[in-house]
Amino acid sequence: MNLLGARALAWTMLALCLVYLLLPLAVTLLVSFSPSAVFELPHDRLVLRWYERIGQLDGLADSVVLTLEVAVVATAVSLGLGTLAAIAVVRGRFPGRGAVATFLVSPLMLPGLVIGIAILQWFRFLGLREALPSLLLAHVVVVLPFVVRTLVAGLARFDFALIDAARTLGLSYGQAVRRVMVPVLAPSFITGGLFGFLASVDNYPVSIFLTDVYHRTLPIQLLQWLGESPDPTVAAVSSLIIGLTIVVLVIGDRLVGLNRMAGL
Amino acid sequence: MRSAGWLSLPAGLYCLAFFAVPLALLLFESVSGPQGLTGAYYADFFGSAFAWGVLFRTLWLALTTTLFCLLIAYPAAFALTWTRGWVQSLLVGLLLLPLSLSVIVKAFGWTVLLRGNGLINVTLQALHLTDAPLRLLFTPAGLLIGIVNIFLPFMVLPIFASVGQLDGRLTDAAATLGGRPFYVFRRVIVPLTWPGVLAGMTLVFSLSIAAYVIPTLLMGDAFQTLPTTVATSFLYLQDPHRGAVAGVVLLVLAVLAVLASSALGRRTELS
Amino acid sequence: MSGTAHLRIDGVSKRFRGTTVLDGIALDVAQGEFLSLLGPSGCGKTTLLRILAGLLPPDAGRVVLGGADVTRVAPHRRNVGVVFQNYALFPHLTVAENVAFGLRARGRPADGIPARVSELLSMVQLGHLAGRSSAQLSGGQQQRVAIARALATGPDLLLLDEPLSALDRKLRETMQVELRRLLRQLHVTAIFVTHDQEEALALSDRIAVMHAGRIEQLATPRAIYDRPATPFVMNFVGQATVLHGMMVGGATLRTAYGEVEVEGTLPPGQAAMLAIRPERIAAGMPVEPGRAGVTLPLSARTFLGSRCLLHGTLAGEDRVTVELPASAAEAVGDDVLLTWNVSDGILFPVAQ
Repeated sequence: MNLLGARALAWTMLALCLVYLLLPLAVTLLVSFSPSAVFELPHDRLVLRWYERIGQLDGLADSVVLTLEVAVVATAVSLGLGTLAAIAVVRGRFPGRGAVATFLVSPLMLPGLVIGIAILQWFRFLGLREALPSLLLAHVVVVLPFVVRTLVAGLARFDFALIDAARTLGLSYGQAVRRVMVPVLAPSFITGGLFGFLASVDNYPVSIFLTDVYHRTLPIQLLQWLGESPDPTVAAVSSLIIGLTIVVLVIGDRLVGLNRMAGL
Repeated sequence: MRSAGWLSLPAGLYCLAFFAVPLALLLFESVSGPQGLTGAYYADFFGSAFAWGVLFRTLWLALTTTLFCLLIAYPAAFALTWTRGWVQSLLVGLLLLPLSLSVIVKAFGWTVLLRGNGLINVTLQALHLTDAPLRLLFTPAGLLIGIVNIFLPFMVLPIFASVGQLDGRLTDAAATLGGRPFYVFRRVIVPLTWPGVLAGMTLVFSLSIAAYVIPTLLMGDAFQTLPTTVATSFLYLQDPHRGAVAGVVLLVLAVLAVLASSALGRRTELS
Repeated sequence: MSGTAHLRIDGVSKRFRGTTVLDGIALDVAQGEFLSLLGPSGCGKTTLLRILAGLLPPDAGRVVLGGADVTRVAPHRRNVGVVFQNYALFPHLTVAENVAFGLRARGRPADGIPARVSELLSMVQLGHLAGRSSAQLSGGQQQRVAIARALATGPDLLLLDEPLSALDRKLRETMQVELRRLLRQLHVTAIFVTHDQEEALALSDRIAVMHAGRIEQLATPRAIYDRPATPFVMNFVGQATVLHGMMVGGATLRTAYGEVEVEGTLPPGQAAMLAIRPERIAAGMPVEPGRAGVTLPLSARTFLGSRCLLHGTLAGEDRVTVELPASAAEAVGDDVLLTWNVSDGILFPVAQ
């Protein structure tokens, strides 16, 4: 294969990759405007009927509220715990700090399903049966690894000589941390928090076991609707989710830059 | 800051309580019988042909997914490094978008696409590649199409990072030493991007052995994997011991994948 | 210009995004010659090097190596060795594998390769490190591996891009001597890029002083130092005492500190600048025939061990730097008569 052929292959694969990844999203969007209740494509005209029907979906508001509640609390707690842990791992000099870091990040590499079922069994054993506290406690385990991973990377890159410099210029240690370290670390904070938040909102394997009939997070609820009465209203909800996610990513890009968010 | 170590205590204790302990409990559940510790559940599991089928299917799915992801992602990652500025940012954003969405949203899209009258079949027929609609839903082909889609970004991003970090002067040096472009690719670029490839492969493998939603939606109950066994054992069959065994096996596979990956990574570093 | 130049650079130009980086560079290099490209950062020397290596095509001009036009030839088809600034050793290969890379890439017979690698490594005194990973070496060792690697295939031309700039001073001086000896021994034609004028003066057969994409002067180190062709070369290489003024009469320059005799053919009324190298200036001696002199205030001293530099603050763009042996410098006061041979003065016209 010559150079030109290789380059052509690479570009083709990139194009294929992008089309392939966006295909299900595009299809969802198209179906949400479909004139008929059947999931058929292509169609001749676009209607907003299904978006109007969103209000009629049973349990939508509750599941959105629950999902956001859990995600916000889990992210806040994770940012707190995670920042302390990241400082400990990067700045501390104790044996096994590598192991601690690996331990805190390990849920990312382990089967979420197994973690979910294990947590369910543990809560049952403890007698904890309510959905909301279960979800709140479990989702910290979902979010924390994202926060720790991003913050450890960001802190490892941080030049602590900057704090020394600030102190020689007249700031106290606390002031130096606040005015020098926090702004430099803010992107890592935002990235870790953002992806952790999204991980909680999108989470399936842990949520499926801890939700009940009255308390469903959005993904679980979506699955429920898909099973019950799959009409394009579901596609409309999915499309709104896609739209909101795009907005979140754009905000993330403005604040931090997409390349940084991807960890590059 | 020697005392900094204590700062990890809150997070560590939390994860211990709500992550490590539950997993330990699961492990315990897989070996605790009515008369104390027993390996009977493992014996039952590995004694049944059904379980070996499940194991085989899980590994087949994960390995095939990893392979296809690698084939597409490797060239694509290179092309991505040839883009610059806002174009590259936009493309990275397009890769991040599916990662930021729930698997349910994506799975829904695939159920529509893979139908008999779905977009894929419509396009294939319009291009005269097939006469009759291909049956894609509830087939391994359809499953692979759906699952590779979910995990592809996890392969592209680490390889892209690795290629991006490649020092251009190394390829310059190789060229001035007489290396034709393909020789430079084989002897310099491939070895030096191997860490990113390994990271991507490990991630995709670990995630795809645990895939539950996609196989269930696109293949139904006929395709039993370790994750589906775990879920059905606990939720429907009320057989927690079997579920625990399947769960532990799944965990062990994930851990083995990570260990193998770091061993492979270290070995190439020393060579 | 002889027709037997080993390397001929003929009218090479290059533009990047509207800026001219190289402007009609013309240069002949003889076989076995050590030529330095000396200049500040941004003068185009690294760009020229990359063009010679084939990593960059010129917008105009030709590069002829050993009689063959290689202007558009890909780098892997030229026989040009390159030593990069940060060495660019392959981190995934051992020292021996790095050195062998060019031989393997060019398809040399495999059984001859280990012997050749040993030969080169012993030439740079690194035979004992052959199996070591390249990442574990010190800067000086990495640099020697880089040189061995570039020389392995017996290149027609060796390009070195500031190879010693990352080394500390003592090591750099040792490496300079070793490098020169090695290249002379192998009779390799070398082009050496540097911004360090002392390095260029020490190593080169000839120096091309570059500025803003052009060669300001191409000459031997001695000529560059004693007879700089332009004020830029005079300022960039070495130090000087500089007096500005206006020509009066045939051979006199009127400066703010008095009239001085100069050697030159500038017309009266022409604004001009006179430069004298610090070591050519004597302090506290009378003005004799054939010498010029002026009294200048000296306010600071820099002790350099065996010598001492005396400086002063003068009006406008004038400056004074005198170099004396350290012992003699002690006897010199603050306002002293400085004298030099008229022929040592370098005269430049100044645009009005």
